[in-house]
Amino acid sequence: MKTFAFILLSIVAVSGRAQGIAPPIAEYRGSKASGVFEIQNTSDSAMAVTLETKSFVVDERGGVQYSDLDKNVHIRMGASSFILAPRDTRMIFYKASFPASPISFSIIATMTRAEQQTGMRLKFVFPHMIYVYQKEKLKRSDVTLEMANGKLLIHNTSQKLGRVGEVIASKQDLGGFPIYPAQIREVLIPGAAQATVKFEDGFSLSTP
Amino acid sequence: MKRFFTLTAILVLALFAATASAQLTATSAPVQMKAIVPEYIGLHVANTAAVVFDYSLMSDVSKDQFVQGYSGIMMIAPTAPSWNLVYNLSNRTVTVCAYATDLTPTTGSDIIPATYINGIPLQSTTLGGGGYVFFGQNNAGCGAGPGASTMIDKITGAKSSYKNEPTHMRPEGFSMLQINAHEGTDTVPLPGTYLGTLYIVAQAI
Repeated sequence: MKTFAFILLSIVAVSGRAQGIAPPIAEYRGSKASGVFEIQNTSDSAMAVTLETKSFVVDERGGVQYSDLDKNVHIRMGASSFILAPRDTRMIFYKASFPASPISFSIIATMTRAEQQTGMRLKFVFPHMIYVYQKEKLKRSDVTLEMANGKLLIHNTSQKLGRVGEVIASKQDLGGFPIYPAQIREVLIPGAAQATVKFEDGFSLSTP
Repeated sequence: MKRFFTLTAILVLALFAATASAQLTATSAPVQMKAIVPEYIGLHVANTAAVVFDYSLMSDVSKDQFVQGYSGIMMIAPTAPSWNLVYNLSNRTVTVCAYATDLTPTTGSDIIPATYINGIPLQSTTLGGGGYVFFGQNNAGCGAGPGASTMIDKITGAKSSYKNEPTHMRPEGFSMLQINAHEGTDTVPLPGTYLGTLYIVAQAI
């Protein structure tokens, strides 16, 4: 027993109700991004909140790739850390300036119980994803569709950021997502022979 | 002068008459109403019990093997952390990822890498799996974060958890969480208490 390694790892979860963010996504068009989001703590414990800013892109498979905030992006907001009382909410106002759109960045809220925890600390992370689209909307001629090996490939041949509102394949709605400039976005649609893509800029495309 | 008073009287009467007429024939202008429902995503704690990987509960054989550096000796936590995801979104894609940091001792310098922790996500079937997955694996949609990650859920076309989930909320977290204190050829961690941080990232794109 003397040589026995005793390893204790404990996770003390937050008691009570919920933590959340509203809205988790903000979209702007043009050269300004000025908005607000709300962080909610409906639990019985005070939460320590930190806000961090990052740039991000959503890659061709839908994964979010974060990076340090672009040096040319300046985000003004209030305190970047604070205590959120039990059953309280906090509005986070921000103003962002940047040289050009399209661009995407995030204000990432991390919440953890304020009081000292024994064991493994648990943190909830809710990013507020900000997309700033260019003034010109995505056009039908900017995008083509292709089916290949059970995947739908959405080719964005322009330098514009756009958003797919929904993908319908085999009567299933596969949801919406952003599509970045010059990106070939992959959507898995196993078994489907045909797909329709509805873009939020007001047009739809279907595969043959 | 008399004509002036008469004219004035007529004008005053006409004015009152016009006013009265306006009151009688007035139609209410339509009042526009507007409701704004913001998008929302939140996590409710379902299991608040502490999760403990206590190697002192191993069988004597396993304890001996552990000290000799055997690999693949897992310690299952009696309880696993879980939450309920609630959302109201405009047809978004949602990912829920868990990130674990390396476990460091309160004294000393040994670590237990986060990649030695594994678990079975409650939504493992949704993800196409079913067995346990180590942190650092099955994380293609999670991106870099504060530690080793694993995806515990992905929802395409997320709209309303109230409408779309059988219990109005979507269970998240782990049905089982365990740790392999020395997977592979590492040295045996010294006795002690090892602590780390578990991050749960709920993200809509």
